[in-house]
Amino acid sequence: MRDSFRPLYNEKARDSKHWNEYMETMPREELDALHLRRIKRNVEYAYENIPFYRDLFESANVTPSDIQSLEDFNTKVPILDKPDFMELQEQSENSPFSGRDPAGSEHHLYRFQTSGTTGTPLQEAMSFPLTMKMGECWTYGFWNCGMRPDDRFYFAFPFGTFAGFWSAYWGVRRLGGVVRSGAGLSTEERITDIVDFDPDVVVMTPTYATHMLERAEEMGVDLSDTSVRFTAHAGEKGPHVESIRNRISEGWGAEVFDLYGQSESPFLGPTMDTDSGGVHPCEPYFYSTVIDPDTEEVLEENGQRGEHVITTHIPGAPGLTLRYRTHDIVEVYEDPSEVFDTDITWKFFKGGVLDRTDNMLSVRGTNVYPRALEEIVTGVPDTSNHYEIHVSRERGNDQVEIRIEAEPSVDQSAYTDLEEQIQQEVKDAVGVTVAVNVLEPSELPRYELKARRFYDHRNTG
Amino acid sequence: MDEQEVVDKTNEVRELLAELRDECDIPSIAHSAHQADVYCHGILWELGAEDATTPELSADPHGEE
Repeated sequence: MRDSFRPLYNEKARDSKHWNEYMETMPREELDALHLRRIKRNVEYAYENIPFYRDLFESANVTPSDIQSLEDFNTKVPILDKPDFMELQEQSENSPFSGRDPAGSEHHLYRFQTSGTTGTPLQEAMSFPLTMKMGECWTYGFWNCGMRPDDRFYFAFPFGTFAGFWSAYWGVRRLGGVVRSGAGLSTEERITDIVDFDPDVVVMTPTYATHMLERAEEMGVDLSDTSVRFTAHAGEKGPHVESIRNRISEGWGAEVFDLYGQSESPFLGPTMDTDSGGVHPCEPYFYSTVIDPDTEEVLEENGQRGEHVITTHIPGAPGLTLRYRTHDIVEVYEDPSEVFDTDITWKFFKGGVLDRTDNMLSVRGTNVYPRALEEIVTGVPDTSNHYEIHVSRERGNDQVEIRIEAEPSVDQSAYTDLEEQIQQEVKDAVGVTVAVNVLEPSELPRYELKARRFYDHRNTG
Repeated sequence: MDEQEVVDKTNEVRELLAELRDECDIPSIAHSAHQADVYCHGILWELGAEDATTPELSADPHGEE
């Protein structure tokens, strides 16, 4: 008798358009009923077991029995912000997770922390089931983008204390793809390795994707000639800035996909669908609403813009997360199948994260979001996508300076014209005057993980 | 196979795994049973048939939660 390997997936499963058609096409009423069931269970658990939440509910004069509908939940439970979680972490002096984590430290497999981009890093603990589910979010996306178990994935990033890309690894494991890690290699070594390994997918930040393109060109390697068919990104909003997505797509000769995530509540796994130009929140794992940031009213009309508020159905890294304010501004479609060519019923954020409420600038009375500036400056010919936006405050007005590198082919004598062109395009598009400083190539720092683009000096004197 | 059949079969498997997890004195086996149960929890979760936030909180098939 000859043994033979059985296939990783049966034939029908392998040919499925969706990773989980049952869940991805579930009618809205059923999805909402599922959300309510999971929310009610978690509210009750949090009230009974987590002092932080019990205090929160008591301060709002709410008990679990008051939550009988999603509307009850959205109107009676207070919205939380990052400082609330920081307070909770500080309260739990001996075990930073004890107040929020129902699984208990015995089940922890990993300890991570957030990048601390907007303040003190949050500590994160993860159990085996949590890593499985966090990976599952990526897998929904991988499958919907066309990646399959026989694809080879190259990881062009270091494995460190930041959970984001670890979850990509858990996702590829879940899919059954082949992983090769370039974690300990230099950029040049990774480029050589990619040529040798023939990956189908490269996972990295968008900034690093463009950095690799520059290095490859110096090495005489055309990355669009390699086997890479997809690039998958997280950590920055780059892939939804058209000029950046085009640069990566053309340079790598690949389709470009994004995962919208938030370390505070890690289960923001989208189905990374750039055909529709946005992301779907991964509804099996969390309940997502979009609110008017001023009134906190829930916005439910297709195409409305507001702030994304999330509730996790499973204990995320900081534990159960109820009505957490992400500060991400999104354009929501409650029923994307009405507007886009898709059968996925999950909510949809067109254009991904459009900006952040805490980044808004006020320049001589005009409100400006940095994302708008990014779209403009990176779209000007002869500029690279290595840039920084610096904001300071003088006499009550926000002053903006944009620093951006020119492409290597641009002569320094043309920099002044380029500065004036960028300044004019910003003025025409958003109606404000900003300072522009065009720099030589490689003057700005390069990053393997999250690039720092926005520098807010308004509160630093 | 329809969703309800998947749910029923998975629940049967979980009962068997719980016996292994709770009764077997070989750590290697007990922990494998625990991890297999985590995957079963995942099956139910992905069908909307399980609401426990994490399998450590799942209802015990022997009765106690």
